[in-house]
Amino acid sequence: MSIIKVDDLLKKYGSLTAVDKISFEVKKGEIFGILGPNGAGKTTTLEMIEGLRQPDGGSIQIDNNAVWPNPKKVKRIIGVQLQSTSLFDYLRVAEIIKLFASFYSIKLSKEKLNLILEDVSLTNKAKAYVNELSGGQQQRLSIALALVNEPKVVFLDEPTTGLDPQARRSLWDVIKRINKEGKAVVLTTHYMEEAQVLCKRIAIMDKAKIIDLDTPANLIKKLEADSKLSFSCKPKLEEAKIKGIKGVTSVQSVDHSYMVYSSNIQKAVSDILKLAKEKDAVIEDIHISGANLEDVFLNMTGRALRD
Amino acid sequence: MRRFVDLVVANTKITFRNWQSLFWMLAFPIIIMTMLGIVFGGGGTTKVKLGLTDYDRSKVSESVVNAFEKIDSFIVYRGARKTELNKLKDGKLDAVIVIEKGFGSAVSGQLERRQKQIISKLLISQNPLLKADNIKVQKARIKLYYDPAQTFTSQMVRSTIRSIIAGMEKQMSQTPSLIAVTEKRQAAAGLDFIDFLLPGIIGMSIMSTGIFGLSTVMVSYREQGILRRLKITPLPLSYFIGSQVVVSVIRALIQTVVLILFAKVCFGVQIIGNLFYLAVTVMVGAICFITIGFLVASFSNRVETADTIGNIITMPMMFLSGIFFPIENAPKWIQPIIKMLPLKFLADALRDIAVKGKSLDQVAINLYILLAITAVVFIMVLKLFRWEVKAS
Repeated sequence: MSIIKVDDLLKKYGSLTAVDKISFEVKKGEIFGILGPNGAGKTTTLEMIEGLRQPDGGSIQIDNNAVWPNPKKVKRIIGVQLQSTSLFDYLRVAEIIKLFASFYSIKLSKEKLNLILEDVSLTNKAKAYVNELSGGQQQRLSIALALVNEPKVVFLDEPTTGLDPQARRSLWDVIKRINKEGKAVVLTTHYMEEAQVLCKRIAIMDKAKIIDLDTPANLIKKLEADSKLSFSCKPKLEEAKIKGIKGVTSVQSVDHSYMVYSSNIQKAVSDILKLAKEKDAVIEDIHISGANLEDVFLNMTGRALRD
Repeated sequence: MRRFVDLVVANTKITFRNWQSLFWMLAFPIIIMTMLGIVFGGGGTTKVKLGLTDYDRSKVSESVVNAFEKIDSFIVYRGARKTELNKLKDGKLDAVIVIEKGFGSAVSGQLERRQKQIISKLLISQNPLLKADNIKVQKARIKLYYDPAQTFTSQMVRSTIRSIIAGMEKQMSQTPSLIAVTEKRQAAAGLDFIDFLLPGIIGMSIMSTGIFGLSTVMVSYREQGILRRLKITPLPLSYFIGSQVVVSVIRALIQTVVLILFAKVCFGVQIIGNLFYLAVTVMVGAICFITIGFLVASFSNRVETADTIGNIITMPMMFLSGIFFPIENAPKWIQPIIKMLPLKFLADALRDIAVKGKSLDQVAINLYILLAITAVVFIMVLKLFRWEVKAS
């Protein structure tokens, strides 16, 4: 059932451990997300699976082939989009797709080329030069190049980083389309929303380790606090007093902003208002919401994703 | 094989769609050649002003004078030694030739003894302002005075004298008609500046497109992660490198053809050499400089660094390899350095083949030296070249 099996994967750069004995499996046909802040070890993990970086320990199997020590074998069954690769200038979109197909000794038929172009919504850009494409279009071209060899699994390393919201959404459509054709997709991201929308299962990585792996819904369910209360307050309130309110599980504050997780949101609101009144403090921007993946991450690591 | 051909085609497209690279590849050498050609060799505007004093007054000396008068690129003024030398000091003349008494009889005497070889020997006077060379033809003497700063003029006059005398000697042994002799030889005698310049410019172009073209492309592909992207595909990287080399060699051949055609149409240069020999030499030179380009790429993390290192390598070579002007008269201490420059071996071989009509055998030593340099640099490249930017 699983297309990728990773066991005790280890990578060290000198005294720094970039990936610390992680294990996971990716199932056939699923979109698997690796979520974590910059420097968590996501890219290093991916590059070891892709055969670009040799691990210092552990094993990786793709479709029952060991990737290391000789990654040549798996090259034909994987498709890879690297983080921020530029491509040859002065070649046209169709030319570069055909060129990459020829690297796999594949001569692309016109129909196949059109299918790939359709997959990544670049049909009307077939004759454009690479340097004339927008950031989102270049990213989609880069995904197209990962598809030329009909891979069983496609790796996308932060595919939407640096794209505007509209381009990001159109890329999500592309990823879903690829997945519908039966290809497994492994993607890294530091956008919660992206992982929540796209992924069937998510591994949350922080400081070289996987701290949790589950479906988005289960991850959220595991978080005890079912609601989040955020507000700002001047002058500041004492954190200890908020923590003392019944039902409150966690309190985080930055400057004058607070985030309070509570199982009893009604009591939390009224008690915090009371506390503010006693101190003659002004409360603004009150916002109550259900927990999302961002909260899961914050709760588990104690820090925001993008810091 | 099919993969390789596809790569070569793609790389060729990349090269020829890039206007900037086309400029450096074709327009730049043409501009340099045109400028230098107009300034130093240009049709009639910069003729060599030659003072002539004939103390011999024989049939032979008269025919030498006639020969010089008939060559387009010389304007001959006749007068006494002293007046002509004063004109040279004032800068009104470029060179002065004095034919000493006894020249004619010595030349004829030599012929009678059936001696075919002409020994020439240079004696340099102590005069710091002017140099005097004695060109000895047995006992016959022609004295040449020139401004040491005017390297090219002196070279030109000297080679002209030699060819005139050589031609006369040859002809005199067959037919007594002296004037016909000198007329016949004059084309080869007046080694035109542009004839001298063209092979040098070809060499220079091969060098710069080899070194800069290759190194900046490889460094930017590495910097942009394109080399890593290729590593994910089953394409052997040697194919990629090989296609780069092939395209660079094609580029060098195209440069050669374009430059020769341009020089032919605009300056009337005659290529008397064998074109196949020329192509072989161009290819050997191109491969040598492409390998040096890889070495530059090995040392550079950024395109700017590659540019700087490339300039450090190419600039001195351009001026010391004798491509713009002859460097035989350069100071002694610098000669050993000159003798190590790959561009010198390439330019000399190209010149020998293109203008002097020599064969591959005769320039073989230059080609072997170029190949040896290539081999040494290639070993260094194998040790030093990196596919990825350092640090993770």
